Amino acid sequence: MYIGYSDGLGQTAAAATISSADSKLVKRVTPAALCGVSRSGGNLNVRGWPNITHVVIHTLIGSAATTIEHWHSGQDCFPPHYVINKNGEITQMVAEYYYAQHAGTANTYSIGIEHEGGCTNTPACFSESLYQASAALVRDICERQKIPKNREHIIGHDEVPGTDHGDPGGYWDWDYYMALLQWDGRSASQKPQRIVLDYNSLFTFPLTANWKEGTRKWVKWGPGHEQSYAAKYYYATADPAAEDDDAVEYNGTITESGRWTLSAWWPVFMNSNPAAHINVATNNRDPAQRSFSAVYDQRKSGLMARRTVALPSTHTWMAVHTLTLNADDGVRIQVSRRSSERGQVIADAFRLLKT
Amino acid sequence: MYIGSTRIDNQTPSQSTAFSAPAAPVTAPVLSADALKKAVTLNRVYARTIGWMPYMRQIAARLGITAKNPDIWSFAQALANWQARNMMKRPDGILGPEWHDLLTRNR
Repeated sequence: MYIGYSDGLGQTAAAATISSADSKLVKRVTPAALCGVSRSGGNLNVRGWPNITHVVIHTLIGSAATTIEHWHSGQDCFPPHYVINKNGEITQMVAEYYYAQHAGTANTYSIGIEHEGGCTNTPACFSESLYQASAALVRDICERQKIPKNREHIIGHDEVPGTDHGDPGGYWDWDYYMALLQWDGRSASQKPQRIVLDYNSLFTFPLTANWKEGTRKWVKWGPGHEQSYAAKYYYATADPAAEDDDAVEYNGTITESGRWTLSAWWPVFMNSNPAAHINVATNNRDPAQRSFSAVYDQRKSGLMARRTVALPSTHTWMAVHTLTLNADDGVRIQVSRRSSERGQVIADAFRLLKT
Repeated sequence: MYIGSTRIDNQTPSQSTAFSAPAAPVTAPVLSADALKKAVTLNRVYARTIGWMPYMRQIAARLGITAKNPDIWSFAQALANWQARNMMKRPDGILGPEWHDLLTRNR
């Protein structure tokens, strides 16, 4: 659908930067101002298949509507090709065959997508509808432009050569996003599923009063290794004589049958515990899928580290174990206060991902 | 990244724990941000000290929460709705000693 503008600037830009949407998923077309695209003399530079090889994921701090207006009016001259708002509505601003000035050195060979509500200091910014809409759009782009749906070709702004921008950062769930991209978009039973259990979950509780609440440190570009996943998390001083039930317990219910990978996230501090015990139990019928235990050194940032161009070491999920589970199976995860080593045990977040 | 003027609230709960709204309440009080924060804080304590934590799944079902992995913020809102339906003077989303009543009452 094309929506024109009545003001002279909009009509001029519309004629120049885009005339109609490239994807059927686009809800509206709002042309970017001419200053936002690459030109030679008076003409826009054009590229086409096979010169478009990458998609760059950006996140937008601020409202999509206001920012789109800035890009449309020329108040800002760095538009992407697409903007997705928090509700998953897609606006196209620059035709794919033009060079939008969204990502420095990657402008010539990439398509840029900005995401509203995105930010680099909390995962709460990235809504489910945002992930779903973005994945559907990128699937469509990749199929039309014959771009491989892998991490070499679908990159973050923070991975563009030479960039100093830290978006989308470590809170963008690349594992989940890439699983959504690789899904065919149709078969419900194959659809990737994600369950995050953290401080905000209804069935997450410290089972004793020995656990205290910590608050996530603020960060602009990140997260760094000291940032928790949730805005708050639990911690306790380890005790070798702690009771069995002296733990933070996370209870989840499996939404679809299949292979689920359990991952963990906790902030890393110097005084954290070098031998923290994590115990997982399920009520699956197969005894092999019923329990799992592991001990982790919570001082080691390398367990959860990811490197990007702009972020030398950002925090991310660490895979713990994979289980084959059925829909409605219960999963109980406990982070125990019992440890033979000194240091604080941290209980932050767990993710169950079916891909 | 384009950085506008609006900051995102760091305390917004995770979106990954989807919540399906309970059956339409007679009245639908929306707790203010402060009231919601207070309710969530106290519910965490009361669940253990008053002892309704073991019954949490039944309580959530009673409140009309159908999501398999709901969040504690939605729980407080759903509870406030239930309190309003049951003519409590000041629905606050905090579950105190009336939790047993919640499980046994007809409405």
